[in-house]
Amino acid sequence: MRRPGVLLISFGLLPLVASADGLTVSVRQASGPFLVTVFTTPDPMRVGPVDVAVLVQDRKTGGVILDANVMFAARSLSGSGRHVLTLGTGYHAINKLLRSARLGIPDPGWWALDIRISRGESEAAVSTKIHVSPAKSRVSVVWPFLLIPPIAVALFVIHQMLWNSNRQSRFGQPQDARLVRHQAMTFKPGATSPGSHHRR
Amino acid sequence: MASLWLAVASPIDTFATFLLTVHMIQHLLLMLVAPPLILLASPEIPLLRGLPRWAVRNWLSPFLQWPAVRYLGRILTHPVFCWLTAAVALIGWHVPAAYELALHDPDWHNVEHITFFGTSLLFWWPVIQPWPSSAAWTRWSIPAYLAGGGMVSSALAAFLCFCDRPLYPSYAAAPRLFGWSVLEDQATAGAVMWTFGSFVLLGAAVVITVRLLDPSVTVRKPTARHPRWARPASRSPAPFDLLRVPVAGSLLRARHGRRSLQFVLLVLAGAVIADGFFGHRMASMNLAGVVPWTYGRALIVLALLVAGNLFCMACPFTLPRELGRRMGFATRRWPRVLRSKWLAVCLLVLFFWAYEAFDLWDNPQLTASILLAYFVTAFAVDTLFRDAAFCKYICPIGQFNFLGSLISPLEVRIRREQTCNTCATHDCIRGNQYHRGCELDLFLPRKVGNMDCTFCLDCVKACPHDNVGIVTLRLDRDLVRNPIRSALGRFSRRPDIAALALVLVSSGFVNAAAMVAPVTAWLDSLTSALSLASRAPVIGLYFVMGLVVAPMLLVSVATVGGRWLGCIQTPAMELGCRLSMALVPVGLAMWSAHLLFHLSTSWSTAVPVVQRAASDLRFTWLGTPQWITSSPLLSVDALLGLQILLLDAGMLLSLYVGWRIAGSYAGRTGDTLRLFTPWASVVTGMHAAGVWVLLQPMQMRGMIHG
Repeated sequence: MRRPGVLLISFGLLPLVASADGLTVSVRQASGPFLVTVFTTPDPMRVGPVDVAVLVQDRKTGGVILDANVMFAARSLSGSGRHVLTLGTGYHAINKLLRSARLGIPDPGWWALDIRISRGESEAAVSTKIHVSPAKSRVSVVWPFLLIPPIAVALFVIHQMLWNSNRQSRFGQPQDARLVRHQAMTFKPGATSPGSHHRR
Repeated sequence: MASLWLAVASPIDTFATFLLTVHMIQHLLLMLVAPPLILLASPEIPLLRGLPRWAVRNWLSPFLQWPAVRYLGRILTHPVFCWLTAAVALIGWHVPAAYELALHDPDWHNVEHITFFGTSLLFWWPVIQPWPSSAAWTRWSIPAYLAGGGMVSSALAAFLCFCDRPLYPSYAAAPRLFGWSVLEDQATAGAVMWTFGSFVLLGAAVVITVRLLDPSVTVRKPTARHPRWARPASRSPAPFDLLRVPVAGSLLRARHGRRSLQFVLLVLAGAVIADGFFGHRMASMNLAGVVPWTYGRALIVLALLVAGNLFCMACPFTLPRELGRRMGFATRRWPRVLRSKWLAVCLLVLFFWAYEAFDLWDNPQLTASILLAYFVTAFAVDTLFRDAAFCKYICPIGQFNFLGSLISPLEVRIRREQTCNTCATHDCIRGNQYHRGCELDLFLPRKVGNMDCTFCLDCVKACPHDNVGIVTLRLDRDLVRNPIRSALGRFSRRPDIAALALVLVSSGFVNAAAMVAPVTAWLDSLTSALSLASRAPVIGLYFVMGLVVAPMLLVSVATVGGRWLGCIQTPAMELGCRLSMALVPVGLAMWSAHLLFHLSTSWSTAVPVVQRAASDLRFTWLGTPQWITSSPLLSVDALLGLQILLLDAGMLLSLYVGWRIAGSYAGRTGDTLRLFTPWASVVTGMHAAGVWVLLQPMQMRGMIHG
């Protein structure tokens, strides 16, 4: 009985322990003495910062290699000749098994992503292609949030109308009319009343 | 809820892009498992009971009683509408073009899931009839209703099973898992839908039929009375009191609880000063460049939003003040002419100008000097004057916190009024032989809100009746009301407090705007156009205009205009003072949105900076600093969304507070509207300006992505 329960709990916890920094597997390939898995995010990738991470494993044993030097290079395939180069580190990866870096991709289109891995005398290279979409306009990100105030104000206006109509139906006449009548009944020359700051 | 989580947040969601079968399981969880279980739990009752009673009575109840809403509710929960919407959603989303759209676009995929879940909630509504709904049809019609749903689902499933070509090209292109071909996967998905769908829908029909036929089972009829567990409580629950929370309450009430917090911040301030004078010259690599500007400001504002004036509670400047006080020279009272907030207003304006003109964020030595001067001033003032004159009249950080805490959710307040009425000693203000009373002259029975309260908890310790707590405060309450406040009087007669509020509000926008590219470019071009060697005069002009001239002009125009439009005879000064307080929420929202940006983008800077400072002192066990960029705390889009959300919340609260204040001066709704319109325009303009600033590229100002 316990085994299915344990399996179920493990299944539920799986996304927590195997999040790989929330990245998507881009390519998994054996190269030289290494087994290399490349992760990328966001999905879809857009112009701007793109997170790239790599998991380096021993090809024979499958053990994770943490001391490999990883270099990421991205070059545009559109013929513009632009390229981005950066060193992968384990410092800012939440999952410390990964070597990661942030590439600032300047243009949309297809880019070649080359990863060079070296450890002592051993070297390997893995390549993949990534498609980078145009950057999202910042306004396109915020417009749902900008709709909140007008909707809230509209609801408030409706609320106030309902509140006033409820009062009218409960007391038979509008609040202002009652106030005016109260003022007329209690008015004494020279005395101040709650509504005396009001001209009418 | 677990089934909902399993459907959208477990690995099922990841596998759904590879296998139609898994995607089908995900949809079945969203349609046949989660909705009936949620409705069986009658979620509306805990949702309503979870809200404060005043919110339900004043805010929700008018909407729920609105005939239009009731009519809409009857239509939405009518079996015909429920059945049709569920069937249309089920078939519509399985049309290949729609399904492919959802597979390719994550946003549309979310819409698909929301549609399935929402229409299924409607579908199951007549079946389960959660309280307080009443049946539109006889109960005998429900098995037929379910069987009809089962037929639609079975027809679609049969089509998937027996179709001889792949319906969804995305799955044809996806890597094949478990050796299944596309058609096998499609047929399996259909089979799963057929069997599981029939099992649930027909199973529910059978259960209902059996219950209808079984005379021993009492069929639940819609009842006009609340079920016992749904009836409102006869008494209001006791308000939340932080001092009664087990661990936090004991810590705060402990004899040295506050002192230990102050000691921690004092040590930190000492380290910042030392590093500022003797550490690395680069601000982003120095504690004086990182601790106050990246973390300090943001955490203070966040604390104000989620709790209260916690910085003043743990203020490191209190310890030198205490030292000065114990020297015994503090016999004089603060000069009467200076007993207002005007001095603090001037100091705040001066500070904001100096921050920009001397690039304080980029100058550790200057930052350390200012901190040191703060300590010296606190010590000197409290050595010569009694009654916490430094906190009440001078400290710019304190004034900022006092104003900000007007919208904080917690306040120090008496628990039972009756106890104070019978108290003859008034230890909360006079003190006793063991504890001193409130140094800021706040008499607890007449204290209203958080203005001038440093959360020192002296009153809590001095009260012999244990009648002071840290309790919840309604967001709008402190700003809307205008009672006589202990040691403060009425806000309507305090132009100095109104001016302080205006400086806080306008500085939020002016300070953030000074960091965005268009404004810095404009300042630079103005400097060139005037042929000035330094930017300081232009910065000075910018701050005088932004913090003094523009707010005064706006407030004057809004006050005079509103007074004229609404035909109000109340003095303009009183109106201006009251309504200026309504701007505090939008100003604090701008501050929090701005500072959240710095906290998010540089949140891990402290690690290498502390490592560097420690290694300077030969403490190498903390490791070697790695000066590299890392991911921000929040993604760019999420951060921007959160910033706009904060601004929205600030604007809405400002509008609400302003409306309530205007309503207290104008008798009729129309006059209220006319009085309030110019102020609403000011608030809306501030919101628009804030959004514009947040959409611009912002300088990191010597900070690094830590």
